[in-house]
Amino acid sequence: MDVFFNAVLSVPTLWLLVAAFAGVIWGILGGALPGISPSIAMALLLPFTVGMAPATAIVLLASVYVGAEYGGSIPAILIRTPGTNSASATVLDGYEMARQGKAGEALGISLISGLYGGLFGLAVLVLATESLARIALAFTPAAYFSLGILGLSVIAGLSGGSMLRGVIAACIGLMLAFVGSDPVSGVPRFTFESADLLGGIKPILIMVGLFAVTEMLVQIGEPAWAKAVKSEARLKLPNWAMSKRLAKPQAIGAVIGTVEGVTPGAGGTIAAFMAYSEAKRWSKNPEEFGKGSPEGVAAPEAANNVVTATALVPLLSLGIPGSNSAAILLGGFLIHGLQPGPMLFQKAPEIVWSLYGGLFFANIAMLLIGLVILSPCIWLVNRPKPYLMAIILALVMTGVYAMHQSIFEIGMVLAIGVLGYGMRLLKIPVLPLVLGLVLGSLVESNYRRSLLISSGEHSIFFTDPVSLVLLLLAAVLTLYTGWKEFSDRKAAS
Amino acid sequence: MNAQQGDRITGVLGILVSASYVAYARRIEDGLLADEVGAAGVPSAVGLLMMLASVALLLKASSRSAGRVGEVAPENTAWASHRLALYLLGVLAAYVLVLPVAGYWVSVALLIGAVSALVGARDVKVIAACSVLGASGLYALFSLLLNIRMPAGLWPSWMGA
Repeated sequence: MDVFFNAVLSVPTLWLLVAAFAGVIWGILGGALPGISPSIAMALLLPFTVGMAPATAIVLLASVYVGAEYGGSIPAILIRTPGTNSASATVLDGYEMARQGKAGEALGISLISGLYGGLFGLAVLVLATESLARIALAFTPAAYFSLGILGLSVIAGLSGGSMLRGVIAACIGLMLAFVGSDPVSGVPRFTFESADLLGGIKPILIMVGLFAVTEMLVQIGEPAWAKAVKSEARLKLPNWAMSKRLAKPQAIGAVIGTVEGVTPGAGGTIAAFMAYSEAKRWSKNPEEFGKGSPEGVAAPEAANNVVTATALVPLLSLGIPGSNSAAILLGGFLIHGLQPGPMLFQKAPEIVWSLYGGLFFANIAMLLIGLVILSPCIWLVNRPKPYLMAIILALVMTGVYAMHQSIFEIGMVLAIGVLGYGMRLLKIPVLPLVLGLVLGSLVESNYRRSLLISSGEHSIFFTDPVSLVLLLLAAVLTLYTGWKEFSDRKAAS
Repeated sequence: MNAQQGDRITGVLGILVSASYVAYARRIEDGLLADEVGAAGVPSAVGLLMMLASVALLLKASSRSAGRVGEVAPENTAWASHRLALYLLGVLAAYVLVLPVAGYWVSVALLIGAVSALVGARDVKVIAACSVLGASGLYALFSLLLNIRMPAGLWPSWMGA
């Protein structure tokens, strides 16, 4: 329990509480808008965090993630349009409940299940992360290189069924990471003699371009979403009998959300659908699923909220972002000169504790705000799409300029947005690119440092036991995914 | 675009990009502090890896039977979406060009108006109101509240300031 009290007591300033509440409000509103995923809601806020204290900025971004998962369930239940991908499973029974006049009950179940899930995920995050980071502290440069390779091999699992496309995306990310001065000799690389590129391309620009601008370029061709009816929605929290009935699907959601959350690349959507399927399998009333079962709302909502915390385990302990939202949070760390990973616990433990405490308050804030924010959400969802899109784009463009008062950076974000659009068109996954971008420097600098130590002998990567284990794990992971992709293709044909 | 076409285009683009990248990397000259690997070593390896993956993707596309081409999106709908995305990109590029000349408030008001109209808004009065209110709100937030210096444009010089 001490760790929890430490976490809660580590939120000493009013600003962190304000950040938790503001983040949740922004997250719920963003999540409620179809097309604005948690990562986009976070990316829109990234530029605003530049001038903030690091802990406030990180808590704000993490709270957006928490709020967006609940926000996504609002249009899923009311208008059969999931606000976020991970709310897709909630549509199945949530919308059916709404059709039966139980929209308020479904929203209440979503809110409470999300709260339980979020708090459970936080407990897992607090207990698992530091132990994992402590192990990673003993790493040599060779082990760090191999950790980077392991991180890159995760690409296989993030590639949506095509490892080759994942490898190409990761290479693009690595190429972007190499722009700027060489970390050893300082000579400029891939700068095209532009002074603006000497310092490299800032990850935040790539993330805003890839997530926010690309999404706007895609959304412009999408049809307008349906309107929500305000009178249908009056939030109703589950009573004692209903709470007892929901305990099992919520527990199933919590366990699945934990496993999927700590697995890089799995994410909230897979967790939500798996939780739905398992809750149906273990239910006393499986025939009700798909026809408005409260359990069918509770399980996925618990699962996707567990993921908001457990997806941060690989990020905080090893510095590897396993999801889009974790990648944006990583961007928030980098803006403030902080590198997530084992050293974070040594160099800035107060940030980690503030994040834990902030996540705790964000979950409480989600409950309090969730009770009153329904009307503003419905108002927002019902705004005409042209004006909403225009304001969001103006906010993105202004936010990018505000970071460093650079028009060049706005152009860079647009160029990255075009790259993201092309990748979406060719079905090249984005997350491997982000992984390549953030791991590029770690892999290259530790590779070269290791060779300096070993006088150019590559055997250092196999004689270091930790490095060897990590490389073997990377090989197994790559081979397994390659084999699975091959056998899936064979089965399909 | 079906999966086979997608693989082919990705493969060809990947080969072109990686070949150019490796060629550019080879031209990087090492400084006095260079190590054994050199500034071009790791980037060249990454370029070659991308080339290999692109070639493999091309081979995979060629090995697929012509009968199984995967799902095909309705062409007209897809092209209409791409055209809109291109127009939006044009509006955003125009914003980047206009910003240093017209200043922040005017540029962002024009951006909001143009994007609203492009996405389907038709009521000129509402578009104008949204542009003015949106630009003023964002200006108040960034310039007055967050104290960030936004581009003034050429207005001061035009007004003899």
